[in-house]
Amino acid sequence: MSEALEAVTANATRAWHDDTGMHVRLRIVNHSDRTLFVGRGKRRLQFDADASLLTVWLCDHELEESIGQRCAIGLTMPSAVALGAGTEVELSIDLPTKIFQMQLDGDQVKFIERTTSEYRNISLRSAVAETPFYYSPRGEPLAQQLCRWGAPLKVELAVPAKGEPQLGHSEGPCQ
Amino acid sequence: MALHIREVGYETASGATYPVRPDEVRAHLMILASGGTMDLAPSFGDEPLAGDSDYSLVLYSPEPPPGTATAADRVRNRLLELVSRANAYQIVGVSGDTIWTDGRTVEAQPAFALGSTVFYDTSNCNGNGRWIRGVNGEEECTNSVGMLYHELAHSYHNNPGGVAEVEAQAITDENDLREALGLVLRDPERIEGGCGCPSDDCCIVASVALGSPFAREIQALRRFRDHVVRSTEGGRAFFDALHREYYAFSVDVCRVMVLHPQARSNVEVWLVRPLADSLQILRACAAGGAELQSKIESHVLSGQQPAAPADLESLILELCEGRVRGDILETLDEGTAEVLRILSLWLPHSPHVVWGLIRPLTIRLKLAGYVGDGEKMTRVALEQFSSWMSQMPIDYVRDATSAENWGVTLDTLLDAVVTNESLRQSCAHALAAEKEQGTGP
Repeated sequence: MSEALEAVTANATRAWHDDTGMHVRLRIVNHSDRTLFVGRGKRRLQFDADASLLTVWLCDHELEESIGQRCAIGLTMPSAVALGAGTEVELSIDLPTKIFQMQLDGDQVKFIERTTSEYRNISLRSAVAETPFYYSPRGEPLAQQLCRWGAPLKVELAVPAKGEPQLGHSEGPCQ
Repeated sequence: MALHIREVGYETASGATYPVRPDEVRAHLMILASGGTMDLAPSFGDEPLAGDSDYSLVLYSPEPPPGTATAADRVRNRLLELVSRANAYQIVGVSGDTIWTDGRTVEAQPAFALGSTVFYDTSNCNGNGRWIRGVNGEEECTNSVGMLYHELAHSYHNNPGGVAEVEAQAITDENDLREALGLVLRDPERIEGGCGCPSDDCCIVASVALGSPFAREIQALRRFRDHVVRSTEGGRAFFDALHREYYAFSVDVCRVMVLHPQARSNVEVWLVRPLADSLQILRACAAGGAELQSKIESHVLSGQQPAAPADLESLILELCEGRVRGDILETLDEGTAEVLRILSLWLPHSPHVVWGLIRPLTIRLKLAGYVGDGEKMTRVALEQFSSWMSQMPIDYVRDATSAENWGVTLDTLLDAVVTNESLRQSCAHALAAEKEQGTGP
């Protein structure tokens, strides 16, 4: 990994649950001397009810699947924010109160209702790269190219329950 | 008659209902029934599906049948074929709060096909819009009805082929709808798309070329880069390095161009347009052929930019060395001066950008001295090409490939790019020393 990519720091400055859902404000600072690109779109959500852990992926790391399957085509490119040398940006990650996840039981389609306020532990995973994602039509399959874009950037935090003081107001930034 | 719309939501394990979006699906199908004209199609409608109250049955019986003469006709005809088939297809409109089985969001994957059932995002990426890659190389907007039509094309063909082949077929069909809607067609060889429209583009060349008369030329060069040069391991490695250097400063230049129209104009006239011509000259050299001289002359002449400074070549060379003269800066507007400062800061640390984008500019400027003597211009162009190739920065490419394949990597790259046989030999000879030494010039 290049030195530039290691020169990016991220921390959650605010996080809260309210009637509209879960919200996190993420401050990302580029301490390097060049422009870098940070994944910012919500790409995947993983719910671990036992650990009350919600992992929000803003990149496609750790998701290299068989693209021969019909359902894997039609993947989109990740959106990224360009972060100039020595600058910072605040990313807003907002999730609705209810999210519905498709599940397959044989040929049967089901949906599981996920309630975001039940997840207090949040792991935010993004990617930081020296270029925007650029698809190579003659390269390896798209899913693999997406998976390999950028170096990992990880922030973990505990989001206060609804009605409790917001993270970042009374408690200060959380690494 | 076999196109069904899911009308009833799915019950979840907790007893809640996952709502589906039949009205949006109905509206999108109505657009298809009108062939993209948005006129009401009286023969289009739906009724409860006998035997399954979860679905409605789509009705469509235009008279006379639409045929295939125009894009709009083909869209209407496709819908007619789908509702007339013996096989049943189910359409389920989903909202932006849906995630698929693996947790992917509709932002990452806007549709999901399961057998004969198509689930697709009707929220248009939660209202942010979507983009696809147009035949002009630019990011063009699309929408939910475009996505639905694309997914229905997959269902219609039910082709078990590879991803590239299957996608190209669906995109070709999708282009009927785009043509009917008056939109730029989608590039069948580029499956890219994303959330947001327009997306933030931070490429200098793309920003300047967008909508310009030479956009087609830029697109041809992109295709050559992506489908020829980057199809080789060496070409991919080279462009990986070039892109890393380029994107270190291109965002900054784009920001200046947004604020300073004169700077944008100067970047276009001094750098981007001549660069397009320069790369076309080098490409013509690499291909050879009977019309080489006329091609070179044509690109040298079209690349003449009377508004550019007389000493543009020396200005460019100084930028590459990290210098820009104060007397030049004083004559320029604030934005252009800032662009030159940015370039002078980054070009000395960007060998792949200098070789791949800047050095070709200086070759074209040199060739401009031979206008009126086409034979000599062509001879000099071939000499310059060979010299240019021998100076390719290859350290990174070498490191990115295994040592034992190093010679093969370069040969493969040359084979792909230089089809002019005599030039191919001289380039191979020029690079031979680097291959043996394993170090770049």
